[in-house]
Amino acid sequence: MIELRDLTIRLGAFRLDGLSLRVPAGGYTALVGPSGSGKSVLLRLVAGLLTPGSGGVWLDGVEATRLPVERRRLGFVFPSAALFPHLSVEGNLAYGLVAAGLPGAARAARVREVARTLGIEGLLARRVDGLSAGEAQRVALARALAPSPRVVLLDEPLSHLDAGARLELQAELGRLHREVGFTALHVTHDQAEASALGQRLAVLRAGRIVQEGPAGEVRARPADDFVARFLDPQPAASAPGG
Amino acid sequence: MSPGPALLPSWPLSLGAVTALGLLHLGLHLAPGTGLGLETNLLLFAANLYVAYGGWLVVRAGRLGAGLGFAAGYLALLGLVLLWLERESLFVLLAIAWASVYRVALLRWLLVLFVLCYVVLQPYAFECFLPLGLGALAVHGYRRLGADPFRVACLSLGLFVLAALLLPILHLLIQDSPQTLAATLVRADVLAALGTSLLSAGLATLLVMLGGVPLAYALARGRLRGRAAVEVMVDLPILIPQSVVGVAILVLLGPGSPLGRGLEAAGLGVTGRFAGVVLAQAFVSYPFLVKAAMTAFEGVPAALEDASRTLGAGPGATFWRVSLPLAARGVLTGAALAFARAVSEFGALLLVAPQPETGPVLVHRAFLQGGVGDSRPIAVLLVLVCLWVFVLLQFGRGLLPGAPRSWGTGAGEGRA
Repeated sequence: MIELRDLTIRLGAFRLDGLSLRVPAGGYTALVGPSGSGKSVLLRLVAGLLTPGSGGVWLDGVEATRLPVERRRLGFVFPSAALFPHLSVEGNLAYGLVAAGLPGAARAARVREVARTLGIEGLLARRVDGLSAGEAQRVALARALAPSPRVVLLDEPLSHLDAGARLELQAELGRLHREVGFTALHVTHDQAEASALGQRLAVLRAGRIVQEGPAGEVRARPADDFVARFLDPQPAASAPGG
Repeated sequence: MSPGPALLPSWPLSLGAVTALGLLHLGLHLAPGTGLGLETNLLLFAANLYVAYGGWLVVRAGRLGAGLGFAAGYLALLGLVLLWLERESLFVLLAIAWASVYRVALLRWLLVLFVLCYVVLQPYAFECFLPLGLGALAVHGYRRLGADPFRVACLSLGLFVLAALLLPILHLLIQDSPQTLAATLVRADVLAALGTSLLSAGLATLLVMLGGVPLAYALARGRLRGRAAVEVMVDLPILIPQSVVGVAILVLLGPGSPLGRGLEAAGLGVTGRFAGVVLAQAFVSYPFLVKAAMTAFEGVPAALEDASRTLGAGPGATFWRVSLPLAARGVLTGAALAFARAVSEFGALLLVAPQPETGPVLVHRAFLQGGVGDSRPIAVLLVLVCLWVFVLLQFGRGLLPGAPRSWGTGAGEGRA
């Protein structure tokens, strides 16, 4: 479970003001909004990569506002895979397990297990700079899931992929969520991606959450014109750009 | 029959050219006062026939300008080697070489440089031809990669100046026979000085790495408010003259200061001791390491460090497992620079610790006692040893993991 209470942060001209959001345990919330609305800032606040000016972050019922990133036990998937170029695919997958102090044999077993789950056993010995964008993002996803985090934060995880790889990984994400049952907060500017994956939708605009609720409800009863236009790409002229 | 252009001129043209050249050389033979023997004249005639054929090939294949360049080169050789230096056989060789390689631009330029170095700049032939020849190769490669004429001109000018800067070093290196160098190398004072230099510079490099890498990391990563001021302070040892560094160390730690007396009493004095050598060398080499390491750490994408943190590694573990391995090449470059700077330190050492003697101090003493002749072989050895260590350190870089590149590591931190 992720719970944000009254978060406030100022970063130059950008400000996030009194933002609250709740992602139920095991839920999948898609956070959508146009560029510059603060989606990534919000995600970095949850991860602890940014510290809020005021307000609090609760993870699984425990206050984590001042907890360092490495002790929040979460998985983070970056827009670019952000794989470690000096390690092999296997080294990347094992990274979080080494940090957790897992002994060698258990580590190797877990690496194989998570690689199998994502269908990348064949890549384990490879160097990361030879991977395609789709393969790299799969490895990044596996790396984030390897230490079995209860909360997974996804920052535009599909934005660097071509259409084919995007659909494939999108389906994979849905399947993983159903099978593993982590709590997911998924940031995207693509409303189709949000609709396909999100059980709940949160619409962010200029640092404020305009509407949040079960996906079907938000789509059926948009709170205002902005939400309606953002979620309905039909009138092409009004679709907001990425 | 071959579809390409003919390999020989038509019969009338061939016959006419041979006849004209024959008549020219007959005239030379008969003209009074040329002093040209029959054999030499025949040799020149044969060479000129070959050159004429080469000229015909050039004109047939290319434009009029190429033919003019060919003729100008031939006339320059004629005037320079035959008329001025009066060396007929050399002229014959060079003329034939000219006619043979003219149509290949790179070889043509190398031959021009060769003539320039070995005929015009004869006493400095080797040390001129080596850098200029390598420079010609570089410029040629640059042109083939499609650089525009302006950049080619910039590169040529820059390499020429670089060659001029390297000239004294290269010239120095070939002054003494290997026997003299070997005899110098086994002298006790030379061995001791080289040993002191390598050991002290090595220790100084380790010292500045221990102190410099953390500062470089902090400067590269934190948004430090007074960063510009800190950077100026890091640069300070580069900004002030070496002798001033020496005076400053003496004033603080010398026998005349309370701190110096205290250290001396504790057996830790620096003046005239090995510790003083290391200290002075570390002082002057520190900026080189810090600046190189800072650039290296700045090149490590922040997203990789963020990824490491989200995977459960703390700031320290992230430094050891991600930042340092990825910056290792740059840090080692800084270490190589720092080492080179430490070995070459002279001014501060002369004041702080002329004993134990390092290489540069020994070169200076040998110069004072026996002039250039005595100090030269030691200087050559010093250059060779330093170059060798520097090259080793640079090659060591190749064994380290590469710098991050490609989409897999992009920062991707723009907020949505």
